[in-house]
Amino acid sequence: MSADDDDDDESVLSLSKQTNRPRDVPIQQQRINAWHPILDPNWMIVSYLILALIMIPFGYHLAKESDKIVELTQLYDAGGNTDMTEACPSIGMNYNANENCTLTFNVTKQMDPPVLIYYGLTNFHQNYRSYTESRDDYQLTGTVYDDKNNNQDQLSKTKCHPINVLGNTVINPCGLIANTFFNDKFTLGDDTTTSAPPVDDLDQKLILREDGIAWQSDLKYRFKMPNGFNSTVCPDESAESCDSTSTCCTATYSDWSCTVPAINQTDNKCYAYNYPQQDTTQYLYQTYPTIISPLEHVTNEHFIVWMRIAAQPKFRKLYGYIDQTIPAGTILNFNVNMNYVVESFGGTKSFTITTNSMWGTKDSSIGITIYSIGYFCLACGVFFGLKQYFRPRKIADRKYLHYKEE
Amino acid sequence: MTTLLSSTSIPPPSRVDVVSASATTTTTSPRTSPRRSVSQLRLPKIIEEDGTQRLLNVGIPNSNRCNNILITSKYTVWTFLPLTLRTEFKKFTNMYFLIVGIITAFGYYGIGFNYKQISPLGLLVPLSFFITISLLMEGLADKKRHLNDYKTNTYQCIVIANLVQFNFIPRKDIRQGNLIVIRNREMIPADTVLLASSGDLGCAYIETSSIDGETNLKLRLSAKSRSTCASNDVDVDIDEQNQQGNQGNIAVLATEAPNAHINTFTGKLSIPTTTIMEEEKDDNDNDRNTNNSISHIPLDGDNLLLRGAILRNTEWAIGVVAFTGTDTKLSQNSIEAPTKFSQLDHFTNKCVIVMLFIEFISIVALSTSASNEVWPYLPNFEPPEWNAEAENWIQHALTFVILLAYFVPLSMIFTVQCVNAFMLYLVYVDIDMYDDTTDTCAEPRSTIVTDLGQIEYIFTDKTGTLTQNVMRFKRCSIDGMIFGTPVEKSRPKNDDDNDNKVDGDDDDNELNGGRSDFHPVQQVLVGQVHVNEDGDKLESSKGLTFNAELFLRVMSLCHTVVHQHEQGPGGAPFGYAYQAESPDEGALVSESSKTFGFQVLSPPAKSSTRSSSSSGGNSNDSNGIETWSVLAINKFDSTRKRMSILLRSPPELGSAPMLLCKGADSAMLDPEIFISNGSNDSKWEITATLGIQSHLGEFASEGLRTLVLGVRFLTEDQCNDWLETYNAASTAIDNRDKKLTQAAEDIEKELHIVGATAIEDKLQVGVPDTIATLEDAGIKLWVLTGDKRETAVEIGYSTKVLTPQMHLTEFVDRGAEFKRRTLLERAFAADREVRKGLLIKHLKKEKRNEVLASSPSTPHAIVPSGDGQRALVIEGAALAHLQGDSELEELMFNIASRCDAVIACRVTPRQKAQLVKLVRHHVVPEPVTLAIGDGANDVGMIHEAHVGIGISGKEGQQAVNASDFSIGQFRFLENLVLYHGRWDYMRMTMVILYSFFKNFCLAGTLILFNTQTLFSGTTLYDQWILSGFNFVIFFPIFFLGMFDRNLEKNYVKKNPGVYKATQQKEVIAPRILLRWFLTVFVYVSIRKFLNSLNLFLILSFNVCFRVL
Repeated sequence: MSADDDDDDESVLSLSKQTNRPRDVPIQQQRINAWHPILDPNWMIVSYLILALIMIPFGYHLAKESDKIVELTQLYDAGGNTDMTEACPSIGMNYNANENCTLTFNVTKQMDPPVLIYYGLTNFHQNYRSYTESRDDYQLTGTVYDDKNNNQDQLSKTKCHPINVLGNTVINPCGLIANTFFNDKFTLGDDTTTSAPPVDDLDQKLILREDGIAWQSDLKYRFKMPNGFNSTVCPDESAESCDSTSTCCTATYSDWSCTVPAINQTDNKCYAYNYPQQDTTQYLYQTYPTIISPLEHVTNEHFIVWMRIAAQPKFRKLYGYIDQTIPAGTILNFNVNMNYVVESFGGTKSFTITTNSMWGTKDSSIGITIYSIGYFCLACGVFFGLKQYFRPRKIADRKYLHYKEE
Repeated sequence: MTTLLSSTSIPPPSRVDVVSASATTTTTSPRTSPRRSVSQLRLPKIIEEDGTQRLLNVGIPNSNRCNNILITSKYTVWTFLPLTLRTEFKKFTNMYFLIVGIITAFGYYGIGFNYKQISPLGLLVPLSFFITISLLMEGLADKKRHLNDYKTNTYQCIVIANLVQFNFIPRKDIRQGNLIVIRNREMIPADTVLLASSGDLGCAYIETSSIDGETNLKLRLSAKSRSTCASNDVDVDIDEQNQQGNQGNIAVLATEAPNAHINTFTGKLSIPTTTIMEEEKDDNDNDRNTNNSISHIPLDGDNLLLRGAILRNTEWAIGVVAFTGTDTKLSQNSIEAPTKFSQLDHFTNKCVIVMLFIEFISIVALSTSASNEVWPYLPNFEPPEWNAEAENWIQHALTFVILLAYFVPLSMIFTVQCVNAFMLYLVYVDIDMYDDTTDTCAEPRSTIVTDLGQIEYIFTDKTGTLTQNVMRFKRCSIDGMIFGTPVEKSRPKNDDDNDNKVDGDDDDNELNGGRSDFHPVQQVLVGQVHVNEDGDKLESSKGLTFNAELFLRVMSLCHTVVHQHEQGPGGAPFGYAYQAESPDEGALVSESSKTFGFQVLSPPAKSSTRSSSSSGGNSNDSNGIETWSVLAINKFDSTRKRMSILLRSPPELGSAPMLLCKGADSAMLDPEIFISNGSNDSKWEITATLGIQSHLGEFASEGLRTLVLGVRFLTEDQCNDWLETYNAASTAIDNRDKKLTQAAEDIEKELHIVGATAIEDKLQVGVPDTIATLEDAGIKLWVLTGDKRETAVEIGYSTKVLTPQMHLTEFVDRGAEFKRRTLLERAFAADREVRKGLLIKHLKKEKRNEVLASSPSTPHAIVPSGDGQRALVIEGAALAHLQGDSELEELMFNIASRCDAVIACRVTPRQKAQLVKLVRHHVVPEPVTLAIGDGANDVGMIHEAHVGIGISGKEGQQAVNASDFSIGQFRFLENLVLYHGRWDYMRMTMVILYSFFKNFCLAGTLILFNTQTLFSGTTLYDQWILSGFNFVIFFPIFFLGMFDRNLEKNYVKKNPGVYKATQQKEVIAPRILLRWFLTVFVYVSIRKFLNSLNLFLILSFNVCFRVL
């Protein structure tokens, strides 16, 4: 609004006197360029159609990819829940039962590598707060508490509450997570058969690989052998003689803690080893002798996988994988060594083999959700398009400003 | 209020200071009873001392009374941290987060319970960051105040010690009783009774702009001049005599107890009669022979120089300090300004409470369902080794207190403050609100900018706000004739033309033709104009008629205008400038000197006592200088609505005492005032006044301000009798004002009305457009003015407050016969049948037909209530009858709230504030009100409304100081309310809702997650994510709050109706809130399907999208 021209009283000051005059820049005058979408019908129709265009194919793609995935699951311990059919007789409340059982999978569709092997638990609350907190990361990275310098009771007690000692024995690693480790063991049976026509590489025996299932960073930084651990190849022992008859530990390395040497699975040699403060400590290989080798301790990848706690009470964890094509018609036999009791918490154990897609493992719901929304958008777009075509509404109609007439 | 504390040597402190000042200025020495000092007096008990009076020995500083230190700073080095921290933690959210932080620390270090997943640093570090910033800002502001205080308190003042010695002492050391010297343009350091000055007769001029905001000079009289106006030497005599005689007590000053009334003061200066002059008529005069005899010099507000004022036009002044420090009127007046909180603040508080309630319920529910086992599925180990003690309910609850702390957004307070500061900055730098005529920007003085988006009622002052408050003498009515061109009737659409015609009124020729019912203004000088039946003007005889001459004399003599030798802007020629307290007076005096040659040469300075030596000069035409002596002045007050001046005419005119009077027509044309009792003239008087009254109506309908001038000739006896009562009244200590008013009413009657003046008050630029836009935006406009009804209605039309389509309902004061029933009847009539009222009469014929054609078939059709726009005009007097009667009040405000415009005329400042208050009370739900004004009379209403706006115009700073925003022109209101208010309200709402939203999402997922963890209190998120939610995620919201623009200015300008959305709180309507809550639940449930990372991504995307 310009000043009144005939107004002699209100003369505009000369520019040099206007010392307080604000600067005429966009940021101060609120004139910064801005995108002001006016969501008029055309705009909305186009957006709906574009959304539909994106979401319908993408949803179908997801669903298709999910459908392609071959996933085979067997429940093998219902934990006393009689409604479910178990593939194996339950071990009930029999801790460390050491029962063996065979799970047979009939592969009807070819499975492309990598074929992932999972074990699943239900109703197991790894997310329980005292459970999640009950670990000592220093211990897992190798710190060993000797009573002279580090009072184990003081340091690790609060962290590993409620389990850090058994009687007079210190547990390493301590804490609920480490000591509720899933200790069923799966092996791929040799009696794998196939009815499929022979494929070139079928001669190769299927191998269940258990390496590389843990996060590399975990392996590298978070789980280490205890400080003071030593191991060395027994010079005189072969892998075959590496048992309690060996004198490697008792004679050659008699000052080491080991009584029986252990075979390293990677190079298949016999090792003698030494754990610090063995006499007052129960190490992981003692707690789970069938699974954890003394040479691995907490660097066992199954253990590391377990230590990554699950967010939900129903979860499955990677056990291993088969990096070979499994043709249709193959019958896979998995031997299960059952030790883990699920009846105590009313859960179940299951075993899964599955293939993979670029979007992860089988989950059709996301694809369905997305293409459903896509169809909804399409319907909206079409409906509004028709409405706009046949009965268009004038935009910025002032009569709609009076929305609260008395 | 604020500037009352500031000395003029420093810039006025910001609004924040005030609160502090009133809180801290109480740190002065106790006001001990002055009894002891009285006993030291050589003088006998002259005044009985009771609670209401205080005695002082003139010249002897009384160190028992408070010193003159002025403290506006809030903190010292030692009190800074405790006080500021206390203030910070009084804020609810800060306290909340401190407590939660401490609980977290306890859990983290395992004291009482264990909770290791969240480090207390995640809460306490951001909290201390935000608090540190607040403290820093507070500290910087206070340091500034400290510097200012130091400067003020150590300013060197001259004090007369032992009556001969001039000492420089810092201002803070001045004590009550000190004699101080003030030089020209110096600030007066304490409330001082003026004793002598370099000015005429010991008078001094002060400028009180920092006290009451008025920039005109005010005359202050020395205490001496009341009893002897002989010369300045009197003071020196006293000094000398006392110096020779008794060192020390030269006089005793009795004052009232310190109070906050700026314009009143009652006191007595008691002086030993050895120094008193002959005319003293007090009873004590008889005792003149003894040393004990004393005389009293009454003191009133005119004798007091207030702290904070500036001495002007006077080389020096000597006074005795009456009040210092906290006793000064300035300090006494510095009441705490009401701290205003914006509507959104209340909304936020409510939100926080709701959130806490939800949180509390969640905590109770979760911790009750929590498992009481350490770990429900103990593995296969020997039981004795389990340390299986379970947590109890309280420990669970504490766990959830920590976990759900994020229900309340920690970052919100900070975000809101930053965004608010930026909004205020945008108001300040808005070039559209820059007034290039006065070089002022819009200035936000409080933080309630968001309230501007919800205004439903605007209360506006008229003078100076809608109009420019530049007065011009336009027309007059003498002897039943109108002189001067009619100001073109203001009609909608061409109100800007007002000046074109009128500006030519000094040119005789332009106006002589045409209509016959008026004459050029200058013809008043030419003399009597004869009008014959044809209406043609005949050649008039030379010389002024009796009435015309008196008219001009009243115009030039009856005023309290201060006259300045400096060349001023008042338009006075020959180096004279007139500074008037009211612009009307200024217009009259300068017009009489400019156009008619009745120039005031020297001011009526020594006017208020019965001295005969003072002179007001008058030059008649070019040669003659007349000297009129002023005997008494009855000042203007708002109840009498008139002022008068008692004069003795110069010898060449017979030395007759006469009373010149001018005032509002209601006050002057009251039969009790102007009819001389039993006089034969009474009939003539009545007819004359009837003529004047019709002219007044015409003037008013042109939007002119009118004054009626009258004169009364007194006999010597009458004069003397009255002067005695007057003097008695003016020397009274108790109820002096009342007595003076009574005295004035005694003499202001039997007036001979000589004429009426009409003064034009020009509209401000762009007012009608602004008002029309605001009305389109659904804002109801109330004009509150002291003007008469016709003027107000006319201004209403010219400003488009009223439109011709409006039905006008008027509550008119009927004086004594006003009854409750009348009003009720009127109210009901207004509701049912709305008359076409004044509007048609103001229209031109063509337009009238249009209106009639567009209205229902018959012009007087009964219009159902609610149909069409309506306006209400109510008079202050009628309002006074309404108030107190709750039923009527409610009725009135029901009607008023349904009207589109309300004009309240003849309302006092007090009534203005009351009206605002009543609207806030009676309209349901309570609307957000805005009051805009420019003068001291608007301060009450500015304080009372939600948002107060001051026009930083010509009437000074007081309204501005009381306001929340100050703007240069009324038309900027459109910018402020429609654009800034609307945007800022929307932005801030978004910021608040968004802050709650993001934290609710976070806490909601945590709750949901814990239903799957056997209610054990596991966090779903890493603590960095949790802290990040309070830190990182507030940035998008922050920018949204600063830059989001909902509809561009142009669009809002074209469609002001969009303002209704914010006005009716559309953005926080239950519907919208429900939507926000639903969104939260949708997002939280999405978490059931997607993992936390996805949720995080979705939130970020959403935030980004909203920013776009």
